[in-house]
Amino acid sequence: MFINSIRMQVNALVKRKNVAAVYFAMLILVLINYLGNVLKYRGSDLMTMVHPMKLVLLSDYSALGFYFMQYFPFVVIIPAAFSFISDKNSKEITYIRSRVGARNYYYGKLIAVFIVTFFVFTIPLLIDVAINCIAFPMNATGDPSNLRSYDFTYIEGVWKYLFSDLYVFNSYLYTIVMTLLFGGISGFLATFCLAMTMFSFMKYKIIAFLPVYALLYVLQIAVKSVGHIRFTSNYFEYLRFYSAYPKSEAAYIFTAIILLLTSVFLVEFNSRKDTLE
Amino acid sequence: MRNYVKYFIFSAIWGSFSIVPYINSDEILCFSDIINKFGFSEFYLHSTGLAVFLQWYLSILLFQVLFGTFIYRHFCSASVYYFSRCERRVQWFFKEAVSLYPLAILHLLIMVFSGTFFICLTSSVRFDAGSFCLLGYYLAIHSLWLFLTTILINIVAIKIRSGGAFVIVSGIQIFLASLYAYWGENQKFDEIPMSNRYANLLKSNPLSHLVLNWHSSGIKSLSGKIDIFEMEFEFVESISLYIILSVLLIAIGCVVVKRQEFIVINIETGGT
Repeated sequence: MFINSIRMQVNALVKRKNVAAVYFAMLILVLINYLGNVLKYRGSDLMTMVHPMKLVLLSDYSALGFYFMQYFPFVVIIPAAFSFISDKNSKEITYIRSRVGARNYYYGKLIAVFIVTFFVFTIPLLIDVAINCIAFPMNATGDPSNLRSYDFTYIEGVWKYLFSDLYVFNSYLYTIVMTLLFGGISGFLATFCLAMTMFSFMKYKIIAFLPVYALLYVLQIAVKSVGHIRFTSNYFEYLRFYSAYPKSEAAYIFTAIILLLTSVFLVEFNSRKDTLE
Repeated sequence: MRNYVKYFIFSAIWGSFSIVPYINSDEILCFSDIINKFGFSEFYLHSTGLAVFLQWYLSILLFQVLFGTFIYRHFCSASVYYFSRCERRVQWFFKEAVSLYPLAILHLLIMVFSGTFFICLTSSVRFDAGSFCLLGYYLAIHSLWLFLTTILINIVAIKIRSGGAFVIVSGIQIFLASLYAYWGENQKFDEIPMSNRYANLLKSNPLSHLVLNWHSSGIKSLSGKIDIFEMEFEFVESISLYIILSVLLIAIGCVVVKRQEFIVINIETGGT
């Protein structure tokens, strides 16, 4: 029944216009970024060519990626996080809950929202990785900062990358893993927003835009408030690749786990509530 | 109106929280510095400064989200019942819009005073000369911006629901903020005093009027606290622009509300 609930809700979600709109918007962004790189680097010598993975949309060197990240706290909730409010407004919730049971409905919704958000963001970004591998020479090693790979500043910057050991091991694998992590974090943020919308005061869709935006900036201020912490908590530096700002891998993983646990706790709390409305 | 009073708890929480990084018991903070912080003085014209701008912008988004349904909610439940008894809808809209303005001022006041109170608990705050004058300008400019953007969200929501309205209005605001990252790459903006051409470009962005320390003023007690770019940018200019935009929006809102079909029982759910 639980698997049925997930399947039913994933099917319902992918048919929504929001999912298609964000998916195609991501594809368009990837395409614009790719075409920009093709025009910029066409005819470049292999010695001066930039590493293809440093040209992806989420690379710290992509201007388009930078502007995309401004909108990220809002964009991340558009595909699926509104689905509980929509189900409640259309009374679909009564139908699904009576078919699969309240707990199966709530947990199925949580997983369905995670899956849909994960794929909406991950697939276009993996396509980005693939087309960069096809279009640009894979043995190019240049850096957009124009620093040479044996330059001390460059090496120091590389060690500040998130999971830098993986980057040193294999830069292509690193980009794929970071893309999957980006999709995962997007999924966690969407499920957190979904869990918040299960409270009765979240009557209008507009209020659903607040939790993720507030969470990301509250984290930023909270870390800034503690004087002796020497790493950044700006989500830009964690979600984009190849950023040379000091970061904490432990804080990143810990935040993701806390986010997941909070979402599960809120869903559990709401699934136990009286369903009579 | 009473339902919305509870939302000011969020204003107080955000006002206190946003000031936490500046708590330093050894230092005496001036009240004008606190107002300047809420007035985006931390923001610097560079791509890396954008995160700072958007962080402080949360106080504005908070109000827009919480009060983005202030007028629109009447179109969401029992609208037929409500509007069949409200013959003069234009007057009704005007009255509702005007009643939103004091709430915007209250939101700003609660934020500033909760932040100041929070600092007072751990260190001292000095109420320096000119700080109340700066507070007056802060309230006038920011409340008008809050008012006009929130009214815009309400008007757009009547046509396309609250979620879409917020995406459009906040999308425009983030786009305007992103322009600073683009302009920040141009070193002409670093020149002090800023040339007229670049000063006018900066002023053409409606968000620039929110940054208090970019303004200039003849008031002596404000010298040293504002005018970091040394350009002609009077507070009155910003207030006038926002008043004109607000009046325009109210006029558009009157037309929208008058023409809106209220037989649709609930816009948010598509009439069910």
